[in-house]
Amino acid sequence: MIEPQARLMVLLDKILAGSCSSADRREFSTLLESNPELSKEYLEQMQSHCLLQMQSKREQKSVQLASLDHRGVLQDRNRRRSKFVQKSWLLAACLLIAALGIAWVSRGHLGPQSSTIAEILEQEGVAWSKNTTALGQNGEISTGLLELQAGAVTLQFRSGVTMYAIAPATLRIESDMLVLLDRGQASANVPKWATGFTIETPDVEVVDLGTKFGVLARDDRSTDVVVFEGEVDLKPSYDSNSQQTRLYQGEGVRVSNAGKIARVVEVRREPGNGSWSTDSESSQSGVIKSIRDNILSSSSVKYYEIVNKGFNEDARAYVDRVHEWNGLGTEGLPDFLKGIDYVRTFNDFKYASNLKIELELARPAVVYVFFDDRVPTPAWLTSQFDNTGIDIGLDEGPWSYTDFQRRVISDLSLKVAVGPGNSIEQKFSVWERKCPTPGTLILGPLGDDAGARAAYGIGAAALE
Amino acid sequence: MTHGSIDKVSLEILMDRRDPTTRFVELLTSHQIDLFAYVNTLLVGSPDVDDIVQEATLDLWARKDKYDHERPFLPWAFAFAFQRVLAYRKTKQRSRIIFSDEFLNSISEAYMETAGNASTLDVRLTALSNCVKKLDPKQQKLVYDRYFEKISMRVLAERIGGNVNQVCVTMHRIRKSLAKCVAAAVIKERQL
Repeated sequence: MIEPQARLMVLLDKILAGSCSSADRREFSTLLESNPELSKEYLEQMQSHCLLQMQSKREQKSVQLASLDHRGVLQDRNRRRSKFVQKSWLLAACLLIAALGIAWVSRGHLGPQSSTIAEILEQEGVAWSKNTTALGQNGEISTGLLELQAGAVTLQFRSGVTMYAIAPATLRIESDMLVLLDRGQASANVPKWATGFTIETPDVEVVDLGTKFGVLARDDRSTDVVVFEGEVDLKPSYDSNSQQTRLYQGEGVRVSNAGKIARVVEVRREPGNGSWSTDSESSQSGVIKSIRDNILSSSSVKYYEIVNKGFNEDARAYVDRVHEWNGLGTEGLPDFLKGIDYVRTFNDFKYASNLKIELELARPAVVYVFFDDRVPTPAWLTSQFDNTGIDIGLDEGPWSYTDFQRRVISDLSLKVAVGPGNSIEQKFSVWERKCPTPGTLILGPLGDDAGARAAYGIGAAALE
Repeated sequence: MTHGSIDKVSLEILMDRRDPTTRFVELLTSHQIDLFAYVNTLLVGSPDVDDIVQEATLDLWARKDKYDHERPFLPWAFAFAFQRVLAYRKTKQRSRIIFSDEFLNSISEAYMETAGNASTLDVRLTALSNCVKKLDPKQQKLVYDRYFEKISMRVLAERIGGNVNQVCVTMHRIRKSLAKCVAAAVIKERQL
């Protein structure tokens, strides 16, 4: 007899009897998973085991019914067998319906109508798989499975949460406050009153604290979590005792199946579309192929957001602030900047004195750097770029941060305005560099003593 | 046309005429064994299999109007049970979960293939009873003690003067022999 089969024989009964150790479980799992030929044997064993268990249960019921019979409930012994079968079937059906009714009511379901916990707000090119069970008539969503094969959908939950999902995605809707994301991407916009809304993947539990955030359950058994606004708490699934990690606006991490947390460096979004990506290769049309830096995951998990064709009036300047780019005057931004690709940098990188950014271009391009006029121009900028002589403005909103001594420094009085020339706090010079061949540019730090200033912005337009 | 086949056709017509809820209840009750065996196979050793089967049954009942009676019941029902199994696994510590996600999918698919033509519970249980009777008396006693008297493996080992591993191996061989015997009986029943 071959060894794996012999081990299967011993381990299976221990497991079925509930007398196994964790080591037995692990060995059993490894044994079956590494010896596919044993699967058939395992299925065969379980078929017999379950039939024997069922027979045993039926015998017990039969004994109970026989005792009823003894008291004269079933008098006609010639018809006992057929009556027994009929009665047991009816009994089973009645018990089933009664059990279902009780459980249904106890779970708070008052009827099919009240089980609707979300509805479809918008959809585009949607194709659901046949496994989908949560979708009712007129776009009503109840608990169950949603498997999106094509397109994108926005759900409005009863709790007030809106959630956008893009194919391919597999979601299990547990309630209006809990979604299990087995595969694919979902982004949630959670109002304050729905704080606690949770998206859970096989790798991590993401609990919202009033925010906009995105979760991507990747096929490589890891999960990306990106915070667009507000904050979320993460709890890796790997270890139930693992510590909770809080992520803030502008931060993104990849949580591996083994519970390891690494920084997501780059997030890409298309304007007017709720989808996003953390893969450099995902963009077909963008000018910027990728952006990397030398900041370690241990010191910051902030990401760069690449927005294709997104540079316009009131475009968000940083991932970790609400500040916006605008034209200085009512005439607005210069035409050559309108609609170009740009990078939302993170304002906190102004503190990184050794910062080195690698900007990789996908095609010939003009690269722009928007540099704070209050800061002395660094050598890396003057040596690689030309000053266009044109300035744009930064419209600052409220901000706050915690410094190294854990002091909160803030100015909450500022507000962003709409349109060019309004509420401009700072001027930025536009620097440009023509890159006729795609390659990688190295950008440096903001400069010494630049902590009180604003980080630079990056734009890129295809070179015609 | 034989008399038997006329009866079969008449029965099918009569079944189709019954209201969908009655037909659905019958499907649910007659396939409880399949749901139980399916969940048990995916969550082998879990003490919560009955609860999960009940939850899956609730899911099925809640969506009974969505069931297309033209389609096979088991694959439809297994899809709900599978979701319940996945949800249950999420609530458990990793150390209590036996199979990886990948293997769970693979074993689920393999199960569905074998259960594709599952016959009714009565046919299988009748076959099982007949097959148990074909075992030698010692094996019959072991099956009875293990499954009907729920005697522990350790006590069974003491009774035969051997160790637990020997009982495990014997039980394994008995179940293998019963599986073959039941499968053959079910095929024979279908041919009648």
